[in-house]
Amino acid sequence: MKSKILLVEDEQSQRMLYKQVLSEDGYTVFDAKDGVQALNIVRLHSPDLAILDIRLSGEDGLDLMGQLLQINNNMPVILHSAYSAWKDNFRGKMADAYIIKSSDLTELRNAVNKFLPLHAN
Amino acid sequence: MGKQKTVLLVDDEQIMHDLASAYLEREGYSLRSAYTGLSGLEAIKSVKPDIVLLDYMLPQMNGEQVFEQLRRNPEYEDVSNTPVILLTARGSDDSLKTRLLKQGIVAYLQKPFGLRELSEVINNIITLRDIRHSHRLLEFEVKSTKQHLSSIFQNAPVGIFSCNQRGELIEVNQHLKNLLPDLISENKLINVLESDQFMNSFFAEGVRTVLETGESWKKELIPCTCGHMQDLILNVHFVPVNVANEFGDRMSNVVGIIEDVTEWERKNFQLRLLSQVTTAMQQTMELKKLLHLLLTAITAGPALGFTRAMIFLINDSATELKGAMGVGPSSHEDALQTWNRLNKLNLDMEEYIFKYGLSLPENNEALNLTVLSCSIPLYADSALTNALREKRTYLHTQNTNHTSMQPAIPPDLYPLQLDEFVALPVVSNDNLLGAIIADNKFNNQIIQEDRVHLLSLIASQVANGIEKAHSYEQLREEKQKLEHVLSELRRTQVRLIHTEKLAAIGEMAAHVAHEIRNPLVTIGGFARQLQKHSEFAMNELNPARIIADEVLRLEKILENVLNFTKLPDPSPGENNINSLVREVIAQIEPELHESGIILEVHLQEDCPNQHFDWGQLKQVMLNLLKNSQQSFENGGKIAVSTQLENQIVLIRVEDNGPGIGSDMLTDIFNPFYTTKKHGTGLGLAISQRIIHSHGGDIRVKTGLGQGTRFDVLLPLNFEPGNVENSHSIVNAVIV
Repeated sequence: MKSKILLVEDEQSQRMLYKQVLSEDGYTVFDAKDGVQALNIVRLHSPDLAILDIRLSGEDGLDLMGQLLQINNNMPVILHSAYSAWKDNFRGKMADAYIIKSSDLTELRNAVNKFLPLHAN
Repeated sequence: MGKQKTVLLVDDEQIMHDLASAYLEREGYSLRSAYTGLSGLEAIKSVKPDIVLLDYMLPQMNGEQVFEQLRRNPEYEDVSNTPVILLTARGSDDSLKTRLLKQGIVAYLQKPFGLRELSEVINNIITLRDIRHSHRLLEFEVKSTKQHLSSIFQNAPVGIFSCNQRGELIEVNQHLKNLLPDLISENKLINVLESDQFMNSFFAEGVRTVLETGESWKKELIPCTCGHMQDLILNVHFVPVNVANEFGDRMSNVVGIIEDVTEWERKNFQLRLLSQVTTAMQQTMELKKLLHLLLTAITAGPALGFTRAMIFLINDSATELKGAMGVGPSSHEDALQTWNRLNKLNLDMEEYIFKYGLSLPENNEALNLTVLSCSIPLYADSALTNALREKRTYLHTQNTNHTSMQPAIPPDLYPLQLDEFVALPVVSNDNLLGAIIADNKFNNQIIQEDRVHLLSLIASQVANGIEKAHSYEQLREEKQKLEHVLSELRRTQVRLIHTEKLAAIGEMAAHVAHEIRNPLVTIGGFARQLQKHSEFAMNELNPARIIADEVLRLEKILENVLNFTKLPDPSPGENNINSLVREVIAQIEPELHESGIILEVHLQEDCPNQHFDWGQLKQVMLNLLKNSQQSFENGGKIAVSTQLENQIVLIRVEDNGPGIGSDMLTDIFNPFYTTKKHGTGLGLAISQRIIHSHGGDIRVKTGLGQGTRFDVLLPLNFEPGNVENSHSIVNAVIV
């Protein structure tokens, strides 16, 4: 059974990109455009990993991280952001990884692979 | 016609009295009578007649005996010269007549004589006597006038002379003889037109002019250049005088007055000197110039005429007077050379004071060096130091008494080789500021009282000047401090403006960067997806791949911008700058080598450890080296060195590349300024920020075609959180 990833990203084009790439890597990707969708997915599908954009329209990705972890404290969280400045933020450090967005998705993929090794599938 | 003349008749015959009385009284005479020799003498004494008629044949005492008594007896001294006419009947006795005339009888009348004859004789005698009397008076008057004139001439306090038209001196008064002793040669007055010593002098010129023009000739303040009297300054006035010689011919003579104004002129000169020194002193505030002016004035030729002058100034603890400056020759030869030189220059005093006085002294003059090495210990027991302590002037001559117990000067002054000298305290508000010592070394002239007096007048001016100079010096130091602070302020201001600008740019850049980053991720990401699924996946010309690569480059630029805006404070550890340079070089050298660049490294030995952020400084070094590398088109040379000086570490990166034009130089540290095709324009801006945050500074020296040199200056004692301080340390040393 494929590992399940929650992808929270408010921008549709990016959601498409990440979902496509990660799916090609062999993961099942559940994508959410906001916190409400994300929380529903966690409750319904218990994903193995969450990738959160920090700046979601209307809400803070860091707040959402808190809520997600309340539901499933064992789920690794990768913060995915265009802002490098928050990398050192206290709550940013609660995440398991902090990846700065890039068109080169190698770093993101490596991080995902670290938590959900593909050969285990 | 004066008062009535009195005639005394001494005769024993009454008839004679009656006759003479009747006749002589008619003629205007007053007749008195005596009948014996003795009563005649008494009458002469009491009456004091103008003339006496004395009969020879008198009872008891004949006329000759009466005359004898009158002339010889001291009792009749007052009247002994009364003219006496002898009357006698013995006309044939020529020998008696001759004898009596010889004895002083004025006339001799033989009886019987006519009364008219008597009257004539009396008249003649009285007239003669009057003439003689007037003559004597006149003679006396002439003599006394002559004496008076001669005494005026001889004792006049000016030189007076007269000479004839050939130039032969006729008269020269004592004053002039003293003034110009050469006017007398071999006990004779000379001819001024022909004498070797005078024929080319003012004297001959004046005499010649007066003789030729017939007009007077007057000159003032002329230096006397004749004879042995070289130092005199004279006022002269010659006039023509017409005199008649014994044959009645009129001849032109010359009379002249020569006045010695040397002393007056010298006093005048001294006053002018004082006034000029005072004026000159007001033109300088610099202590050194002031002192030099003073010492120049003291040694300026005819004014004070000291050969050497030195000044000593009190030290901070007021325990000794330190040698400050000396002016004067250091040896006999030196003295002669100096005097010859000054004579040739022929400067007047004013020029001398302003030309030499106000220039800076030559420090390497021997006397100056000696003075600088000397001090006068005020506690020492010597006549000099005692006087200075008591703020007295001390004049030391060969005759000065001093006990063997107390030396004249402390041994500290032996190198000055003082013999005769004068020392004056320089006092202001009762405080001893210093001392002036002056002497006549090498010309051995006696130090005169009036020179010492003048010197003390100048010294009092100097005290004011020194105080003024001290105040000025303090003001100047304060001003320098202020200027330094001001320039610090300006620097900080510039830095602040720079920082403000950076902050604004940073904020804007961060915002723009984030906004751009998101679409870039999408564009680049899908381009990669396209590329991956394209049949030309591996083709370098695959458009998707080109898009992906370009997007990646854009992202890198954004990363730099974002890095710049969020550059954190340095987290310094104890590191060694040489180790850092070695690490950077090890990393970059292969790349440089490949580009054909030769790297030269000179590291300061034993460079101590210091606090700095290794990562940040490494970035700086890489930036600088890459800058140099990228400036070359076909290789070149880069020299990297470290130096330690004054607690500041200097890291220098120097290349022989094309350099940077001055028009661009002001911008190179500005963010986003770049001359390179692929540069972000942030390398140097980031480097500068890093260096500043380490309390250091970065300097560039470059020019088109001259290569470029970057100097990074880091204070050894940098403490994080003490950045502003460290800044000022670096700047203080660099400025």
